[in-house]
Amino acid sequence: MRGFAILLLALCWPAAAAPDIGGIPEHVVFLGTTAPVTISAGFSTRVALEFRVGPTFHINSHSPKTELLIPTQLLLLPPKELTVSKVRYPAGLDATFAFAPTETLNVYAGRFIITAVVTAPRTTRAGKYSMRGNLRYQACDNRACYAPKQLPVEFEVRVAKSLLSPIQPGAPKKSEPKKK
Amino acid sequence: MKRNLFILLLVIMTVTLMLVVGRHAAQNRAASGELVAGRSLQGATAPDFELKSIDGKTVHLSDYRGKAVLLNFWATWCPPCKIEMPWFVDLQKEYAEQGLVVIGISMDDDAEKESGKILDFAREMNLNYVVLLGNDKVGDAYGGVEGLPTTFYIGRDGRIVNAISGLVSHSEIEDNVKKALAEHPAVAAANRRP
Repeated sequence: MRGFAILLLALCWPAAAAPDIGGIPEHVVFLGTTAPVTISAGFSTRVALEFRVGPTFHINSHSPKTELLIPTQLLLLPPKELTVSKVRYPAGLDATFAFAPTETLNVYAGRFIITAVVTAPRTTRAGKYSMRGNLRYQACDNRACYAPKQLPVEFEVRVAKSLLSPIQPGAPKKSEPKKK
Repeated sequence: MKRNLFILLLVIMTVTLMLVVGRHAAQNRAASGELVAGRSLQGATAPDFELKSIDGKTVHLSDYRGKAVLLNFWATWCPPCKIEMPWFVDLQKEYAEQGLVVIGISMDDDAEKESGKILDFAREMNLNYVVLLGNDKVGDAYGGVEGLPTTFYIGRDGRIVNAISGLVSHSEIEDNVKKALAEHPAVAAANRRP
C-alpha cells in the first residue's frame, strides 16, 4: 500500500510541479455538444455547443461594443449530407477592466453556449457524420490581449432513417395547383 | 488497514494541492506578462527590420542606431495598448531631446492592407511617434510577441535593455526609458569588457 502511494506521488509529481509546460494556458476550450446529436433524415435539430474560457481570460462577445474589436464567430463546415443555419450567440457580459476603466466591453467569460440548427435533408443516408469547424476569438486578460485564434471544433451527428415516406416519382407536389 | 487508507488519502490530497497551486502559479506567470520569448532577448542586439510606416516610408530599426528606442508592439483590437499610447506620446515629447525615439508596430492582421484603418486610429489617438505596419516576420524575430502590448527598450548601442509584455504603469515605462537612455554605446561596451 505504501509502495502504491509513493508510486502515485512519483507519477503525479512532474505534472504537478510543471503545469505550464508549453507556455500560456489555453484561452478557450471546446467542451463538446451539450447532448448527443441525432436527427432523422428530413428533419432539423438545434445543437448546443459548449465552450469554456480559461480562468483569468475573457474573449469579445459576438457583438463587441466597437468595430475595432474582433467578434467571436463560429464557422461550421458541414459535410455535403448536412446543412447548418441560424447560428445563435449568447448575450455577452458588459464589463469594465482595469486596463480600460472608462470603457465598457461586451465579453464572454467562463462557460458559454452557441447554438446552430443542423438539418439532414430527406436524401441523407442514415449513419454517423462528422461536423467540423472553428471558433474565431480574440482573448485578453487583465493586462494583455492575444492574437486572434481559431479553435477547431468537431462533433458527431448521427442521422437516423427518415420517418417520412419517400417521395414517389410522378406524385403531385403540394404546391402544385389542382387541375380543374 | 485504516493506516493505509490514511496514507492514500494524504497522498491524493497532496497531489491535488500541488496541481491546484501549480496551475494557479502558471496562470499568474502568464498574466504577469513574464513572457519567456521577450526575456530571452534581453541583452541581445535588437533584430533589425524593414517595415513600411503608415505614411508610406520605409523604416529600418538600424536607422535609429545611437538613439534609445522604445519599440511597442500593439494592435487596434487591443484595449490595454490604448492605455499606454498617451503615455508614449508624452514620453516622446519629454525625452526626444535626450535621444528617445518611440516606434509603434501595429500587429493587426494584414497591417499593410489595413493601413488606412491603422492611420485613422493613429490620428484619433494623436500619436506623435513613428507607427509601422508589422507582420509575422518581425513578430517572430522578437520572440513571437504572444501578448500585446509588448514593449522592448533598446539602448543607444542597439541592445535590448528590457522587454515587458502586458500593460504596466507609466512609472515603470518611464524607468525603462531612462535605463535605455542611460545605455551609452561607449559605457555599454566598457561594461561588457571582461
